[in-house]
Amino acid sequence: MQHASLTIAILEALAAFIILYKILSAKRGRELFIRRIPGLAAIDEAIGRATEMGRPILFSPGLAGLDVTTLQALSIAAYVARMAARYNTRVIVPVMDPAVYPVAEEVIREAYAAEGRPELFNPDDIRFLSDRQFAYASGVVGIMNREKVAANFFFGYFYAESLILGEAGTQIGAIQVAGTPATTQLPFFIVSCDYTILAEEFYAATAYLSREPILLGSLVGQDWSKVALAVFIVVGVLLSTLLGPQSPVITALTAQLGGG
Amino acid sequence: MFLSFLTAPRHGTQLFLFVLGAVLVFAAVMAALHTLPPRAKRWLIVACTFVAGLFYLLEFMLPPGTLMPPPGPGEGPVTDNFLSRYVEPVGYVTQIIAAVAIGLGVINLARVNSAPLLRFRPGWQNSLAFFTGLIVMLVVGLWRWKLLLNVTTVAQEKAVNESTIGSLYRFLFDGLYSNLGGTVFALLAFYIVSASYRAFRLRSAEATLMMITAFIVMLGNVPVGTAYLTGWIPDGHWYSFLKVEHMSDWIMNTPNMAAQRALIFGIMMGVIAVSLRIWLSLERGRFFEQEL
Repeated sequence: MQHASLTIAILEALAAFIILYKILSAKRGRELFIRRIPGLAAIDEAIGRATEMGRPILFSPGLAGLDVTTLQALSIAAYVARMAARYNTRVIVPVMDPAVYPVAEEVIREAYAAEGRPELFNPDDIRFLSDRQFAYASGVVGIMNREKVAANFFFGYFYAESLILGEAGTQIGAIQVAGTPATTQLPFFIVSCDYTILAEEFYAATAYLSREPILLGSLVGQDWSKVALAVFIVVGVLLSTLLGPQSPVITALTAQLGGG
Repeated sequence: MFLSFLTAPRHGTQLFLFVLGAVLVFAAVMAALHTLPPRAKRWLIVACTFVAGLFYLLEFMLPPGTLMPPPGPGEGPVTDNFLSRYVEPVGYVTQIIAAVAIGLGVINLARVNSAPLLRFRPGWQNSLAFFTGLIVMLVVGLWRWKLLLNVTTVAQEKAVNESTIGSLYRFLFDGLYSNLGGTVFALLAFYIVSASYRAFRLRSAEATLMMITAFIVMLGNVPVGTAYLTGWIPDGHWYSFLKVEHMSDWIMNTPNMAAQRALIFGIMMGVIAVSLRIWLSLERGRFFEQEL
């Protein structure tokens, strides 16, 4: 089994402390600013376009199992479903992992109920397609074409099928918004989608969309943690450059902190 | 002790009775949980999430050797702590949930596809193909599995694979399924061309820069660039950096790697923040609060 080195333990504890501190600050009512993220602002635009055209929306939560990435994607799906329920627009959610399917169904059902439109929820719109990558991709492309979707949302972890999904959506003229922490797939989404939410912005989505103090505080804490990490890196680089990598100070620090 | 009892190997009637008992206990617990008031359900979810998160956090954070007996003579250093031995059995819970969920997935597929087929709605042929594929693969797969149950030697396994059922299984899996997957994957070749065309159109300074960079990286990875275009430039001189493979390596390993690492740092901080919110049940704001 892998275990944390002292460095990892200290850094994770520091990040957790900063994030929790900022959450508590936000709960106490402190005003927090987050910059505009065009990709997230475009979600409402895409829903509006689908509503105007009277066509459904497709939301793919990616290929990962029931992990942090998928839970974040489903939080965004809940927002999309609430907006769609408000404007009487269908949302189709194809899933690949069978464990994600019941969670996705509950999240979308609750989103419709929260908008006071439970009768609009259609359980058949939450579809388990296949747990195989390209079978899932061809299933999603099939739904896009048969249902003539007006807007595609790709949020979650994707692999090689990202370009297939993005290009198929482009061919049918759908407005597309994608967000993924999979850095290898970002270029494919950037070229095939109208808006792409890059890497960490994906985890900022719920805070940006809901403006809940807890989520905003967590987001600001996350940014401060990055600043702390950058300071560590700069200090390490300066020490190593000034003293030399073989100096006793650097050797002792490396041995104590468990770094390589 | 209790975990060891649950995960001990069982066979034959004992296994059947154990599985049946587990299903009955599971159903009774689920029925009891269903009757709980929403507030109690909420606290139960919060407690389960916290305990499960705490287990994995402690297992990862506690140093190797914590609450473990010291290694005996001739044994290597202790690499686990006292919680490590429970990681695998606790992981079975995920597998059980996935096994139950696959049944739900198949029910969903059958429900979605039965309506068009029974009412001959547009696209009923797709539903017919789905049911045909599902039933044929299920029957052939189970039949082959039943034949393989009694196999004890390699020769017997070969005989099963060369039987009618074995051949049919290979035809369905290798002959149909794998090729269909390969066909969808092959679409990428065409989509990359159309996507590249859009990406590399010279619409702005950024697009121009990206096109030039991509051109250098591409030339650095093909013989026409490395052997013909700059192959005549000798190594070991100040101007050797002009070789396309060197420029390509520098682009990939320096600016590209720096950007990738910056993205990964941000992503990991995001993962820590979201994990913390889920673990402490703080992620209950707008989307999670009302329904629990």
